[in-house]
Amino acid sequence: MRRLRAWFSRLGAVFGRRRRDRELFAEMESHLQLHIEDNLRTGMTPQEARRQALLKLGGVEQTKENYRERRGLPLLEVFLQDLRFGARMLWKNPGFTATAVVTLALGIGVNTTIFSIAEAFLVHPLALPSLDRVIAVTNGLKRPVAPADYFDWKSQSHSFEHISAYRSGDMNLTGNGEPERVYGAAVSADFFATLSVEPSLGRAFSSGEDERGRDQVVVLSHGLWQRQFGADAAVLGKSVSIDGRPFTVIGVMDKSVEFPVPTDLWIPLALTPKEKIDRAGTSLHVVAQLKPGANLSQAQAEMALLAGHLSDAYPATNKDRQVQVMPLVEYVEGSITRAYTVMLLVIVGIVLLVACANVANLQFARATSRKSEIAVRTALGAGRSRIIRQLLTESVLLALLGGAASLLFAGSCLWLCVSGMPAYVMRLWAGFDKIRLDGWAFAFTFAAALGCGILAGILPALDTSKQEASDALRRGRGATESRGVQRLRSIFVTAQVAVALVLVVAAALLIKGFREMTGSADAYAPERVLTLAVNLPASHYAQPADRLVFYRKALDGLLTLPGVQSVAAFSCYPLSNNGTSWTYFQVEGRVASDERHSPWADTQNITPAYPRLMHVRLDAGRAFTDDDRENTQLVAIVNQKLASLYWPKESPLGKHIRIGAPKDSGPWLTVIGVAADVLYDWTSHVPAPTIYRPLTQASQAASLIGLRTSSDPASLEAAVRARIAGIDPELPAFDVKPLNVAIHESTVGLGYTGAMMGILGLIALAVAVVGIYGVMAYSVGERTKEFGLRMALGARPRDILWLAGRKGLIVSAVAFAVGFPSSIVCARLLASLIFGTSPGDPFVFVCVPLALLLAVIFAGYIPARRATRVDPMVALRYE
Amino acid sequence: MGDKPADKKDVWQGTLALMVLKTLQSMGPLHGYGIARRIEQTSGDLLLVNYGTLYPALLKLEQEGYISSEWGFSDNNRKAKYYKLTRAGRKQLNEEEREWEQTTAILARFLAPGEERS
Repeated sequence: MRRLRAWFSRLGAVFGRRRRDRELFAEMESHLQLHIEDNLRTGMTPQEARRQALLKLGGVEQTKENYRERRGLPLLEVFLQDLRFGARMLWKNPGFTATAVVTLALGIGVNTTIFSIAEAFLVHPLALPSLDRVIAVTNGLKRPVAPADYFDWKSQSHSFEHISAYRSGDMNLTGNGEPERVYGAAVSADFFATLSVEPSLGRAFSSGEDERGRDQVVVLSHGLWQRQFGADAAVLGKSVSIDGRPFTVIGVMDKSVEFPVPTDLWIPLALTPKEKIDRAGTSLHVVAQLKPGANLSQAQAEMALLAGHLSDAYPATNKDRQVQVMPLVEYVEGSITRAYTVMLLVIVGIVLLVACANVANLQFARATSRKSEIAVRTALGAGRSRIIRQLLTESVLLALLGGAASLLFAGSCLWLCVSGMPAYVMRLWAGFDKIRLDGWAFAFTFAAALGCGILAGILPALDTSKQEASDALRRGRGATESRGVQRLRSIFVTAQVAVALVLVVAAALLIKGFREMTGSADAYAPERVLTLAVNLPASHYAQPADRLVFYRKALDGLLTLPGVQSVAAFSCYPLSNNGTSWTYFQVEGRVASDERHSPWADTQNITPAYPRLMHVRLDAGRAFTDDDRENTQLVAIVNQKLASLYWPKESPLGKHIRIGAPKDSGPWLTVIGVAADVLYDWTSHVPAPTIYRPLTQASQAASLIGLRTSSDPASLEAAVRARIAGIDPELPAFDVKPLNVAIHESTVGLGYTGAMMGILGLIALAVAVVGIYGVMAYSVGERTKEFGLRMALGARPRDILWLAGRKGLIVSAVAFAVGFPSSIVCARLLASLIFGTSPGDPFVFVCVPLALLLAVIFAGYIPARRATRVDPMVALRYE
Repeated sequence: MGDKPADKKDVWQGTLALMVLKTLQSMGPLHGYGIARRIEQTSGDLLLVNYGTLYPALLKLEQEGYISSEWGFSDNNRKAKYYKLTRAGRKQLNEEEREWEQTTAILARFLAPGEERS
């Protein structure tokens, strides 16, 4: 307590030094006077009295110094002194300060940006209160779970406070104006208890409401409530229809609750008795809340044990079925999000290192011009550690300024990032709306700045403080850098140029790949195609025939709209990122032994006009026609990829394939055509084997419908909705948008990565150019005298240019010798990680290094040229 | 300090604080020079006090809140800074006195020659 009080008192004394010094002086003075008077009284002479008093005190200055040390906090005072001095030095060198601050602001700024994004995606993508206690239970690798398994777990496990299941998907919501397509989750009654969340309005499901018959109640999400119900509290008790069944609204969830992403509403998961004992169909996602005291590994051990029991009891279905528990955060993370984010984190880290090297270089250059200042300080008694501390304080101050500026940069980057993302995509992306500069980001920025300040300052400080005072004083303004420092600086610059080369090549590959991919969509002329999605609910469209009637009416109706050239239904558009569905298939005469060896393909169920609509070329055979009906020969079209994989040497026409796993039995389909390859799912890198089937023979409830028009497709949106409503007023047509917009939305994440890499590459390039310029300008300035002398002796400007520029050329040559092979390795790495980059793109590998080389040579040329303009007389007069 | 008389002792910090507190208790408010003189006299001139060391000690006591100071005038009308004991200082003094007595009593028992154990 007393210690703390004393400490605060000392902290206070750091300020108002002058007043306190005056007071101390007065006290010393009065002490001496009192003592002298006493001494005089004992009969000493005035001189002797004063001498004795001073002697007895033990020196006025020593006393004052001891007193001062006790009074304030010496370390802090020295620090403040350094800080003031450092600020003055920075203020006096605005060019140096601005360059260093901007370099660091960019370097730290991109780190803060990526850190904020990574934090949102990987650390708290969901705003749930007790996120660290909530886990997902899966059949390994995030695979869903069979209902019967779930019920066994629920009754037999002990690690969980709650364990609940859900499944989610698109649903049709009607009863409130226009029918709307929503994303809904069917959840067990204790689902909200598992997540520890409560509705902000009304109530959650009570137990027993997840039984058939009592399950027609619905909880709305905050977003849907605002969007569709005008945030009206009277919504409670209102009746709505979901997929044709009536439901009563009982609650509205809090705004923060968005799980499973991007849910609009929750209804009870009421499984039929038959579903409840289903052990084969894995359809449920299972989440659980750990009991207090239980941890993830205990839960994993218990679940593994349970899985073993189930495997013994039901070998037919549960043999080899793994159970894996994982934090919910990990469960909701996008499959490629982590790889992308970690890649960006690594790259921005490298950019920051490059920025640090640059600032270190600037400080080296400046330290040389400060040699005499440092020498004077040393001569006046400053110790080496004191000088190092002073220089480091300056460097850290510089970095903190950079850090402050970086927050502005990061803030605008994040703003661009969030505002540029289509709202539709943002909803699907767990954590995207959580991107912001929060306390963690500020702490990160501060730590990064501090680290940079020390990293960039330590070598220059160590080196500068090493010199002998007498040496530096004697040499005066002619002071030059030691050989070691010059080599170090050259290494820094070389590394910068090499890293810049690697980054710019990577960025160029990524951007070019992205452009090529989106450019490949131009073949489909997507800006003239309007797409819409429908999902026919089983309540109204139980039979394939019912669906076919709807499709026929819809396609015929849409074709009569003005300007429409062709209309077709299909499963998935090109360059989507989650729309394909795949299946095993068997080739007649070559049925695989088991699933692991079975061939697979993406499936597309289409109507005859599809090749015309999407400009898909048929390479052999014929297209589907209206004569391919339910009861005619079962037919299929395969793509080139599939044909070349399974009939490399013969024509696939007339061959037979069967949809399904080896042990399934299904009818054989006859291949009647071969279509050109189309990349339907861009995340799969290359076109997958694809089987097209006529919609008449492969009925589906969820379809896309496309219209090719001669005018702007967006202008048809309202008319299209009206046509669909004319056929079925309860059926929402959703995702009505031009195909180019849909493709943009599906690839925008990759575009972001490309843009980010582009920015990083540019920053690295700028930093490298500044680095080269700094080193060259310094070395030219240092040799002014020498150049002057040489010119006086008859050297031509060309010789001087060579002499001055040689260093820059050597640095560039070494940097390219290191950077070029590295960029090739890096490109291969990128290609394995990110779709759209071709590691052997000759254009990129020639043009980018050339451009970089030009930039670097130009940066070095300016100072070298200055050397040729040296006036011999002026240069020599300096001596 | 090479010429320090052999029979005089340096005053070490902890004890100096106790002596300052005790002096202020018995003498009332006093300036730095007075405290130094008083400590020297009380010790029968056996202690060698470098007066300068007194001031950091006074400052420390003041920072800890055991004494307070204000400017006043001495008997012969000189301006001087006077220190006085605070309530916390009085308490602290009692505590330290007790501790010191205990310590010396224990040591005395150890050092007393030939005393039998009871």
